[in-house]
Amino acid sequence: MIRRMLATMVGMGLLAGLSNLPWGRAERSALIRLSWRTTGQQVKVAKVQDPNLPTHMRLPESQAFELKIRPYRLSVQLDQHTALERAVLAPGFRHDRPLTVFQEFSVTPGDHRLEVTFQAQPLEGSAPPLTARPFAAELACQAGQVYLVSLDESGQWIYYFERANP
Amino acid sequence: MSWKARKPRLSRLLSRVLEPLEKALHRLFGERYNPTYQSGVLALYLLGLVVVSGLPLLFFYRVGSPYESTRWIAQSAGLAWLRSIHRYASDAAMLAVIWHVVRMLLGGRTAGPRRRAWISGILLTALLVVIGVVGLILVWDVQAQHLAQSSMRLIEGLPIFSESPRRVFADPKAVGESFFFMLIFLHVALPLVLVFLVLFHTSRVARARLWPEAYLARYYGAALLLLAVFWPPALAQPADLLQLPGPVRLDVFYAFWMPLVELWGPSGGLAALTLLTGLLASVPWWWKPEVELTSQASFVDEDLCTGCTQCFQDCPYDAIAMVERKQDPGSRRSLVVARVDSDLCVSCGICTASCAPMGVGPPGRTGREQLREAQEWSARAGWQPGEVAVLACRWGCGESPGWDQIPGLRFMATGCSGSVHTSVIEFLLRAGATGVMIVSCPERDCSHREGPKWLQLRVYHVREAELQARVDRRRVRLLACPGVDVGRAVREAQAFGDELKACLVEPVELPTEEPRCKLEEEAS
Repeated sequence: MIRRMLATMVGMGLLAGLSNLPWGRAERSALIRLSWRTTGQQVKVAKVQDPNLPTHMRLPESQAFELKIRPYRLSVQLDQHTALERAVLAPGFRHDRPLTVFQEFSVTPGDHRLEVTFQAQPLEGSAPPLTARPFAAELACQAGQVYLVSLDESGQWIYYFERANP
Repeated sequence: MSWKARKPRLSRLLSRVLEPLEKALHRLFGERYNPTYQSGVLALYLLGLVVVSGLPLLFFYRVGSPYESTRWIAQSAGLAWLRSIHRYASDAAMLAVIWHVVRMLLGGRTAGPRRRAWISGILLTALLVVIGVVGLILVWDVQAQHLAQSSMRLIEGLPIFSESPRRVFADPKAVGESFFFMLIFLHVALPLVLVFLVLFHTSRVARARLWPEAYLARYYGAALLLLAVFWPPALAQPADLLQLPGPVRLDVFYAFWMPLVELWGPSGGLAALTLLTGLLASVPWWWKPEVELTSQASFVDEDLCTGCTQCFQDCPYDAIAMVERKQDPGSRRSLVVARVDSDLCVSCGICTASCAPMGVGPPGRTGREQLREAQEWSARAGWQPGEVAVLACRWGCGESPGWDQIPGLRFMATGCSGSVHTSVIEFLLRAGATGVMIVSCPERDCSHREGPKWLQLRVYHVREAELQARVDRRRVRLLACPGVDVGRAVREAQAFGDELKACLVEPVELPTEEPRCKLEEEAS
């Protein structure tokens, strides 16, 4: 009986140990996270119709245009170096879903300069895009901290860190 | 000599690998308290504890302030132990599930009609992991944050998302009340699905046991309570999505996959998990006996069947039905006859021993064939005075080489002990054996669920196909002994032999009446 009870105690100890196993190590880097979701600039693009069609055969105005989301270009400069340069297209089968960005950059603790540009691109058959204001900040990064940069629907940059100089 | 059915080769190999561990567990816990013998019912019991301890916690958990409410629970004297039990019982349940899987593999209980139980078992385990992960995230401490973010990283490996699922935890504002409401809903609703899956999982067994014996439930319940009181699980710092989690406490039972994601990234981690799940799910197709079970299914000799329904009652898998007999009007035979559904039959042979006229059983293992085999075995060498015939189940002690060349013992490996026809015992005594010992597995560890129970009732009670009253019970011994303790079985068999020599100084003369089912009858 004593042997059984001792074995049970050891078993319970193992159970508790395995359910609370120390894992992972202290973070030695910081993280810059870019994350947003936006409908971006939407444009009406006229559908191609035969100009010779009689008026009654042409598409009504409600159907003559389609709403498109402009493609964007995301550019990230970290300490004067290009960390990322890529096109951001509206996802979905018809490319009509909101644009999303989620990028993370691991950086060493210390001062860093971050510049983010999220610029709409021209779309054939539509007016040229509006110029977007880039985001730029000086960051004093600490190990284990996450520095979040986001963009709201109105195109304003939002940031979650203390020392910034946008 | 041997009864033909054997465990799959891989089961025998795994038995050899796990033998030291099984031996140690058997030595430490003994037969009655060995948790591995009742892993399935213990898992259900522990899940029951999880539900009972979780219900009161539900009333104190606040979706608007998950961490604060959990901390309040953890600091409250009346609730802290409940939270600890909830956590530890769920961990222990997973451990029991893992061992249940191992036991099924050890017993080769994977293929044929057991395929459904195996697949549903895999689904149950996967669902249990999901419920556990959701439960751990509900706490919303740093550990929960790491688990949540890793979960999102893992599912990011699926090529179905147009945006990164990790965005869910990108912004502290994004994780709000509705998120935790959804989690708590899942944490409560998914166990209901679990209940239906458990019913499906056990639907193909007769008299399914869903609860352990009271003494076992009390013992392990008390052990968990003591653990919960004296070593409650720690609550880490509150989650902060603008902080990297750093070192955390890992719950190995539910977050075992986190290191994989960390090491190999989302795609690698997901591929490893998919591979593991696929490997486990495909077990019934490659971890199976050398002989297909469907070709080994029992059959009924309708000429011999008396319609007594005993095989129908004894079958542990509900594979036998009593159907109306097709016969000429005026026939004096029974109105019903047994019929075996070969899709449900696992070829355990228990029906063989339940049939007094020996009219049912798997091919090559019917009562008549057992008698013939026993006759050949006896005739081959002849019995020496004082020799004991030992019949041991291949699923337990019967596979061990420990029986070889032991003076005073003659050994034969059989199928499940519940499939040994009582006429074989009588025949061996009549043929010259001083005694007969049948070594079965412990009742809770029988690969065919009810073998030792039926054997006991047939030998010492009057369950149909019972050992005839004329057989001296002093010369028959039943021993329940796990395969890892074959040494004990050998010692017991030798002691039985010595006992017989001392007791039965006078040679025991059996009445001249022949066994009820003679081989000559078959010949005629």
